[in-house]
Amino acid sequence: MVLLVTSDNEQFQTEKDIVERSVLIKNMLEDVGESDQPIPLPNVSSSVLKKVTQPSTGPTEIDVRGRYLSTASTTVESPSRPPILEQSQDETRKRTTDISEWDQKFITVDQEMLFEIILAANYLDIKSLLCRRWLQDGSQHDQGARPPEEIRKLFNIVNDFTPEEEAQIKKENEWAEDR
Amino acid sequence: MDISHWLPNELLLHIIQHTPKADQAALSRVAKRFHELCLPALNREVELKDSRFIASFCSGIIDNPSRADAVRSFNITVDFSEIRRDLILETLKLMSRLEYLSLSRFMSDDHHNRILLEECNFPQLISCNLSFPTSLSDLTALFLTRHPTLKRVHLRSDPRMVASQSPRISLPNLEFYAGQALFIPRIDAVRLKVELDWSHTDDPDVNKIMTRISSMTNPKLPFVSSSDNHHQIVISVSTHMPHTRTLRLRRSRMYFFFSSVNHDEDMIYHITECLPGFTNLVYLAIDWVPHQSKAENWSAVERLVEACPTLEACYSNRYAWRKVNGRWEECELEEFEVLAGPPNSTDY
Repeated sequence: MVLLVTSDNEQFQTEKDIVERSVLIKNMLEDVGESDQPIPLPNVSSSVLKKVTQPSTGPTEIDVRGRYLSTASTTVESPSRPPILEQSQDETRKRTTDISEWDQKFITVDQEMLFEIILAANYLDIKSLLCRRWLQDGSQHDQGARPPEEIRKLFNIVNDFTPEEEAQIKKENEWAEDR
Repeated sequence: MDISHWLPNELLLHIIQHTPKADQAALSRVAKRFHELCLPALNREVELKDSRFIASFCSGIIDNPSRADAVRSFNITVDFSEIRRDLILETLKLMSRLEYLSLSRFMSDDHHNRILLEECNFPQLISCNLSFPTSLSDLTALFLTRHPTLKRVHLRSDPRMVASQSPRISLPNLEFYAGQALFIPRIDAVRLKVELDWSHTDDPDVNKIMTRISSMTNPKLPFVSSSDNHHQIVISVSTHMPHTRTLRLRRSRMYFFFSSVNHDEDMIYHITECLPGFTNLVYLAIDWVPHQSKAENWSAVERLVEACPTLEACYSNRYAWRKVNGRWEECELEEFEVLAGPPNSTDY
């Protein structure tokens, strides 16, 4: 077990293999070695840490696309096992049909919480959580992406395109939406 | 509060990179900022599977040429008879950072082929999959010469194109060549894995080709070949590359016109005769008669392994056997592929 201390001074006893999914904590543990000292996480609050470390049966969020990945330019990280997810890649493939309750809940947390979770995932270096498929809602859009208007609604994004511009972009990128 | 106000670009980009293409496309329509962020990820790997997408995609690039910089992989899998070749070529000319190009069904008229071969330059090209006609053999050679970065070349061509006596094409980085065997004498490479196609070659100078390959390959690399008559080829491989470890012989596309029980028997007989010439052949796969029963395959394999004691696994028309503690046992096809290495390298 590892002892974590959050920004609001709450202590958490957490399984080592769970916290080690955070690259930051893993490195810390390796540097410090065996120790009873608590690990301070000054950028993470207790409510967020609960979210980030809670076990879940949710599906993986990373879609390992890229049959072809260049070595030359920006690399897309290979998926590490995220905190929440313990499924094989095969299961990931069929993910759209069973985006879990967990995902639904994840997506329905309020904006502020979502913000903090994303920042925490970034700080703790949990890539996969950061990239969770929070943009998709499997129950309604099994066959494709969530429509832009829904993404806007969900995240309060103002559409700054004219209808013509949007139509033009849709046309240009239509090849990528075809499944 | 608008999410894009509190989420920095860096994090959004990270999320976008891990998002499937369809989601990236949807996100790109959400707002201008998302469009800017998504487009490079979206265009990195372009695959046009339907002719109706081609004009709009190409126009988008032509109107905003800087977008072409994002494209690393460009693959068109549409039948090219009905599409705007001029638009595709104009778009291709802008893709200066392209690494993978697949236009396997593109070629059909000389005018557009000529533009592709003469005017397109991809300084970072690693892999290409092209077809080209007889009349443009020298232009194709020049195109390849202009791209010394190439590691993988897949050429579908008419064998007559290689009659020309032009100089060798030096491709120092080339690791894999799939295509007409007759093209081999023109290639200059150091460490080459080959998948040779001998179809339509009436009277190839097999020894010349094999001598050439033996100077470019090494015994650890599998030798893969498709033909309707492997007799002469196997003799030549055993003479020029006797240390070959893995030999895969496939039927050519035209094989069914030649196939008959007698022909198949002759082939097994001839291969069995050539096998003692190999010093270290470990894996042998023959794949040309899909109708035979397991018993018939085993009877062929039995003769092959007897003629070549170094063999450890043998594959014949969807059945496989391997040697376990000195005894031959049937094994899963997957097991054979694991032992001998993946069956074909035409996937990129």
